[in-house]
Amino acid sequence: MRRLLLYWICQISGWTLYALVNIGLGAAYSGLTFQNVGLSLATSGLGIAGTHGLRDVALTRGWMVLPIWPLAVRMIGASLVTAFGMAMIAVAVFRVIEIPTPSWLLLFFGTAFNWTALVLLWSAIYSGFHLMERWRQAERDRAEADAERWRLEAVAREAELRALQAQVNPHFLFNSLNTVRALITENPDQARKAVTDLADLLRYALATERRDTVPLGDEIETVRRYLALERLRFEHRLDASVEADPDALAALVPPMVIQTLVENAIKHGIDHQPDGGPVRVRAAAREGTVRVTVDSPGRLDASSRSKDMGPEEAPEGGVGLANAMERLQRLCGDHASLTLAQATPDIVRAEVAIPLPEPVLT
Amino acid sequence: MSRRLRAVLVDDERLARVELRRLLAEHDDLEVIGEAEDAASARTLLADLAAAGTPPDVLFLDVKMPGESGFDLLASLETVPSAVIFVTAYDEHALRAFEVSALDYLVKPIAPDRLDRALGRLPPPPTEPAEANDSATRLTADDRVFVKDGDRVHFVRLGDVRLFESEGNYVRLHLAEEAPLVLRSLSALEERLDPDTFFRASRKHLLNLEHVTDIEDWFSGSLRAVLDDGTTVEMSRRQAQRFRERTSL
Repeated sequence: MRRLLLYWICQISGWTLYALVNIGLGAAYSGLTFQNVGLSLATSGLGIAGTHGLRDVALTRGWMVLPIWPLAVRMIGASLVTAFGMAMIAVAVFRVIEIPTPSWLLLFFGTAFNWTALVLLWSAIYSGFHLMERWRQAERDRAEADAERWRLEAVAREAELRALQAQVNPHFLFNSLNTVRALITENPDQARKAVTDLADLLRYALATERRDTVPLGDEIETVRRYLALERLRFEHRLDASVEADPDALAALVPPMVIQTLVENAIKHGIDHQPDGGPVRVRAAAREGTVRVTVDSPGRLDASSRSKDMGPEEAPEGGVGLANAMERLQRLCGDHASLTLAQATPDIVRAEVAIPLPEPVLT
Repeated sequence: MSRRLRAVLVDDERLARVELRRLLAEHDDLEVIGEAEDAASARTLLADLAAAGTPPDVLFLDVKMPGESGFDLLASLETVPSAVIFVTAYDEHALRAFEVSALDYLVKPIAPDRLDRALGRLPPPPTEPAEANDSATRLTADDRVFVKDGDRVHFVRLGDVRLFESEGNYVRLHLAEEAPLVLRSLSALEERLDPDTFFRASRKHLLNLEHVTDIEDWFSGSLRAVLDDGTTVEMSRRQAQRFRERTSL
C-alpha cells in the first residue's frame, strides 16, 4: 500500500515537474499561451497514462523479479513500443488542433525520439528502484539466515557436548541391579557393598555431567568401583586390577573418559569372549605427562591397528571411543592423545596421555 | 492330572541364572530341568533332552551372550521349544525386535508379577507320553522354526508355510503375509517333515498339501498345483508320477 502511494507521488510530481519545465520553456520561446499550457499538461497526462500502462505490463508479466539482463531487455523493448505508441497519439492530437509543421513525418519522428528518451528514463528509474529494493531484501534475508545459522550451530554444539558426556551404560546398570538382586540372598555382605558401589558410580556420573574435567584420582576411584561390580557379574571370567602412581592422580581428565575405555575393554575383552581374561588399568606420571593404559584380551581389526584415532573414524570401540577422543581433545588440548594398539598378540591396549598441570610456584 | 512344565534356562551369568531359578521356585507347576551358560552348551542340552523324550516346554533365553546370541541359538535349532521367553537387561536392538514382533520377553531384574503373567500365557503342557517313537523324530505342522528377518524376529508354524522354495543355501518360507528366508537345505527339511502333509514337487519346491486347492494336468504328463493364494507350482514329471501313485491309493 505504501509502495503504491510512493509510486503515485513520484509519478505525479515527476510529470508535473516536466509539465512546468515545458510551460516555462514555451513561455520563454513564444510567450505564455493557452495552447502551450494545454499542450504541456496534455503531454504530461499522456506520459502518466503511457508509463502507467508500461508498469502494468511489466508487473503482470513478472518482469520485476527477473535477473537484471532479461529485465533490461524487456523494459527497453517495451519502452520503445510505448514511446512510438505515445508519439502516434501525440501526432494525432497535433493534427486535430492543426499545429503548423513543415513535415508531419519529421514531427512524428521528432516526437517519437522525444518520447523514447523520456520513457527509457522512466523505465530506468522504475526498474532501478525495484532492483535496489530486491537487493536490500536479499541483504536482509542473508543477515537473517546468518543469524539463524549461528543460533542453530550454537544449539548443536551444546547438544553435541552434552551427548558426548558418556552416560552410564544402561545394559551395565540393569545387569548390575539383577546381580545385586541375586546376591541379596546368596551373599548379603557382597550385595550391600555392591549397592554402595553402584550408588557411588551413579552419583559420580550425575555430579560430573556438567563438569569439563575432574582429577584423575576421582576417575580411577570410579573405575575401581565399576570393576568391582563387573567382577560380581562375570565372576571367574574377569580378572581385574588397577594400579595408579600417586603422582599421576592430580592430572585433570574429562570425566568418564578412562571409564569409557575400561567399559570398552570389558565389552570387547570379556563380555564378547566366552573365556574372558585379565583387564589391567595402570596410571603413571613421567616427564610431565600422565599415561593411563587399559589392557584387555582381544585383537584389533587390521584396519584400526596401532594408529591414532580421530573422531571421524569409528574403530573397534565405535562411538564410545570416538566420543572419548573428541572430549579429550576439546577439553585437554592438542597435547592429549588417545591410542588403541595391539600390545601383544592377544592384548589390546588403550592408552591416554594427558599433560600434568604446571606445578604452582610459591 | 497334568504334569509340571519343564523349563530350561540359558544365561551367561551364573547369578542371573540363580536369581531366575529362585523366582521360578515359587511356581509349583514348573520345574527347571536344565541350564546352560552359552549357546553351544544350550544346543547340546536341548538335543540331549529331546533324545531323552523330555524336551522343555519353555525356554528362558538371555539375548546377549558371549559368542552366539540368543537369537543365533534359536536360528540354529531345527525346531524351537513350544514357548520361548526372552530375557534381557537392556538391549535396544533386542527390545525393538520384541516390540515389532510382539514376542514375550522379560527385563532384568525380573519383576515377579511380570514373570507370573508370562507364565500364565503359556499353553498347558501336552499330556504324555508323546506319540509313537517314529513320529517324535518327525516335524509336524505344529512345530515352529525361528526366523530373523531384518528387525523382526518371529516364530513360524510349519503348517502356516504353504510353500518351501529353495534359494541357494536358504529356503524361502512362503507365508500368508511374508516370505522370509531361513538357513536350511530343502532336502534336510523334507526328510524331517511329515510326508503326508509336505510333498516335494520339484528340485526347488516343497508343497504343503493342506494349502493346495487344485491339481491340473500340465504338459507332457506333469502336473501343476494351484495353492490357496493363487500361486501355481509345476511338478517335475517324476514327482508328478509319484504324486499320482500316492493319490490313487
